[in-house]
Amino acid sequence: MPKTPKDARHRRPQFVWLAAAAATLAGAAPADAQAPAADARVFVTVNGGLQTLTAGFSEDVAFPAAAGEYETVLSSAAAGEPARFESDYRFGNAPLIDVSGGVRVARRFALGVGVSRFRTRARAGVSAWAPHPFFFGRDRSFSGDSPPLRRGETAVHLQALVVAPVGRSFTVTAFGGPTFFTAVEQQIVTDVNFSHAYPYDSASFLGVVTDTGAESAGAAVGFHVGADVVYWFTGNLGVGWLARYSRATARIPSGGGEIDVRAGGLHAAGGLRVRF
Amino acid sequence: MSSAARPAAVAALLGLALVNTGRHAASEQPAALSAFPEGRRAFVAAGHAAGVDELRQWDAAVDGLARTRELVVTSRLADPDRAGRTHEYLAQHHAGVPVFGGGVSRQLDAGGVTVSLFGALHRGIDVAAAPALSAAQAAARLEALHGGEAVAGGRPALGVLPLPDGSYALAWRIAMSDGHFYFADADGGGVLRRVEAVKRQSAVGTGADSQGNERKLGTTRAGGRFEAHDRLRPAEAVTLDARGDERRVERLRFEHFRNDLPRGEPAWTADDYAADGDNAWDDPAVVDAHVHTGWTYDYFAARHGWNGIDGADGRTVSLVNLGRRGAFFLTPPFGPEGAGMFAYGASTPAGEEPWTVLDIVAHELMHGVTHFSVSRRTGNAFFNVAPTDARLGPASFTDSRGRTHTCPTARFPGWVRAPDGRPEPGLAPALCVDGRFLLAYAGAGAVNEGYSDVFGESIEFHYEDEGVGADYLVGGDLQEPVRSMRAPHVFGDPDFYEDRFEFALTRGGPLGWEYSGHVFVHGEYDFSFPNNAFGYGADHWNSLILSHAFYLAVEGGTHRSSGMRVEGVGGANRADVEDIFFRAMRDLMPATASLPIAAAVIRQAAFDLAEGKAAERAVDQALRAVGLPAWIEAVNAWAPAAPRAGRSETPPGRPARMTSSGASAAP
Repeated sequence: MPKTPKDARHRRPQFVWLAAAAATLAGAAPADAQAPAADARVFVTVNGGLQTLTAGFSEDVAFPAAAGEYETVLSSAAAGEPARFESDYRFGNAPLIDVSGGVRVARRFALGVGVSRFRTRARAGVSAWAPHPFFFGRDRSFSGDSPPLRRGETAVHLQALVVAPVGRSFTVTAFGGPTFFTAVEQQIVTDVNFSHAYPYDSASFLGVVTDTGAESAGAAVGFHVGADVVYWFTGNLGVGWLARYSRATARIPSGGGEIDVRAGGLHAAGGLRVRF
Repeated sequence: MSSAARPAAVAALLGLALVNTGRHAASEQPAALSAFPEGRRAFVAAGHAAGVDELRQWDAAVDGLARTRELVVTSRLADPDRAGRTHEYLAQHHAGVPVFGGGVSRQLDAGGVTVSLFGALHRGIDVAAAPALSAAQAAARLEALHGGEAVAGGRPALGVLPLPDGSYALAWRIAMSDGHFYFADADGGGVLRRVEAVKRQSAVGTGADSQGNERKLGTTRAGGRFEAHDRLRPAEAVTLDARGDERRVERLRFEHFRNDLPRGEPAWTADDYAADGDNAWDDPAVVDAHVHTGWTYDYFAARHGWNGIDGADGRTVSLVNLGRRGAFFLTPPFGPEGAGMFAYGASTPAGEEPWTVLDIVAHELMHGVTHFSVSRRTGNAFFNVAPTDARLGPASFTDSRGRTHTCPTARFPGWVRAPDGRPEPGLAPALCVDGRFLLAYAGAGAVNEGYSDVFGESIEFHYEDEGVGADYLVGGDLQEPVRSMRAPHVFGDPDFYEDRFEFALTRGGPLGWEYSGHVFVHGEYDFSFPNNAFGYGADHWNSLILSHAFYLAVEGGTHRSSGMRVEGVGGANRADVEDIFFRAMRDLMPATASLPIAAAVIRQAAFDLAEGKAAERAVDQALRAVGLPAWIEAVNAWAPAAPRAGRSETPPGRPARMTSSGASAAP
């Protein structure tokens, strides 16, 4: 247990339950400044919010020309010519949880660590080209959307924080540092099913084949910067609004190779702030 | 199931059925029941090859299972081929849910007597029919596991799934967006089985054709190799490889017929297939023939709505590497499945230059289209049954060897009856009418060959974008082309009806009348075949009269000898003329025809399709330009009520009226 700030002791009866909740939920933003906890050394933040601006990416998969059995799945339709597809992954806002904590090491300077986690599902737009079974140079193109595909990121943010009081009840904290994306999971489209009928001059998108997401996971090191605005409605307890931008490039397995997936994004979150 | 085990299993199943009906027969046949114990499957195959007793035992067993609702009739359809017969399918059920794959099809005759039974039955199923998971729950688990979606809700079906170890599981069958059916454990949700929704065995191979172009071939994987068996098109195409073996050629031509096999039952073996180990084909003859057969199918389907060579998506069988010159179409009932065959040799016996370029293959296949389109309407193949436009020639002539032949004493090489009554080559009497030689040519043969050239070249133009050189030269991609539709005279072929080649005929001998080897032009002797050859009706030579008309109708121009000008529709509108010619053959052509009759039919088709339009005018002008005027009156004047030969007063140069019997050489 972190030390309890002296000035907060007399407030303990009404603060205990909040502190317990904060310890459970967690959050980010140190606190210096403001009385009555100007000498607080430890902080914990718990946030819930959204990850936005998650970078999309595209993958171009080509199945080399083969002369074998011919089926209506792209990997088995490379009839004498390569078959290929492009999948375009785009993401909207997704729920985020974030827990941080840290220690003040100087009057306005602190060090901390935060963990964020978000998961979402998003469809990938797929465009495919299947060679004609009878003729060279007559690819049939078709497109469609995948089912919702899983995407998840778990990130550990090592933070250097600078805290500035604003008025009597607010603090503004700027922070930044390296981010370790320990798990970037992305369910990947690995193949495309299509339908066609004689004379095979056109083909229709039928669906996709995907991996489970678990096998397409990678790790990466990047950075983050951000700010946190806290309103302290007691000396030890406040609410804050966090904005953090993080970024890294993860290489995740796909098919026989790897693809680069940009991890991170803009975290917009809010939650409890506790300092001791 | 072995034949030895079959009776025991039959008896066992019969016992099972009786047990289920409560007759306690099982106790009377314990040995039989032990042969078909719990947890075993029985495959029912009781047709004409099975004994009557076996069929009746199976039938009784099936009836017993039907009474207990373990077999449920799911369809009952009238036999499309055999009047009065019925086909019903009985699906196996266990505790009210179907057993996936279990059931029998039963054929019944008009009296309701079972003719055959085929299927699979399961015994000893020990699963409860109450699923722990609902269909939606099972679909959700599959989606979570698979990442796909259940198609239209997956259309789940609950049933008993036989497993490889002899056990059974209650399973949901759910269609997923990846094109597979999943069988999900109805208790735990795990996948028990995944099968493709569409089962295909097809493959696509590649190889260079005889012109060095890389092509794709529809093939089939079989036994660790790929066979030239195209299953991707609605009509299958099979290419066999004679490998220069004359005995193989003869077997494939005639064995099916000689053994009186049912039509459509293949008489070829796996060894007869053109095959390749890695599907990268290296025999240009195989690539050519197989690819061009497919392309020709595509052309007729797309351009004329004619599906397959026979118009009914029947299988096309080709044979390459004959080990001799030429190419031919063998009409039904011959060929390795009794439905004809297309065979291709080479320019030389060594086979350096296979006769499998596109227009040659399409030419042969058009013979098939002609055959089937005419025979399906008329009941007869398009044969030279009679020389319908025979005419009187001179009373005598002197041949190129200085021999003078005079009717009625002239004798020409032909068939004569040997002392033992069998036909043998010899000198046959000439056929004379009013003391003059009767001259004729193979009219239907000329029309047949002309049509094959017309569509052979049309198909070349159709595939110009694939690098095919289209040029109105038959065999234009060969080192030595065969004919020219643009300028027939360059190859010595006639381009005008009055310039046609005719032959003095021999009188009907043991094999009927024949075309002699003495050739006439304009009613006068021209030359004789060497080596006493006979029997050829100049099908190919005279065909240029018709195919040149097609050329003129499309491209236009002034006829070389008639001087008549034709305003062609232009290459961009070639399809209009193709349509007219095709309709004439498909819908209107009689079972035999001369060139004038064919011209009349083509004119009618032009009228039907393009009355008053450029195409009708072009076709009419072109036919007139090659000496085939609108002779409807003339044809009608001598076609009906033809007097017997020998009573004609028709002067030389006009159509003689004659009837005759016998058959010409096959086209």
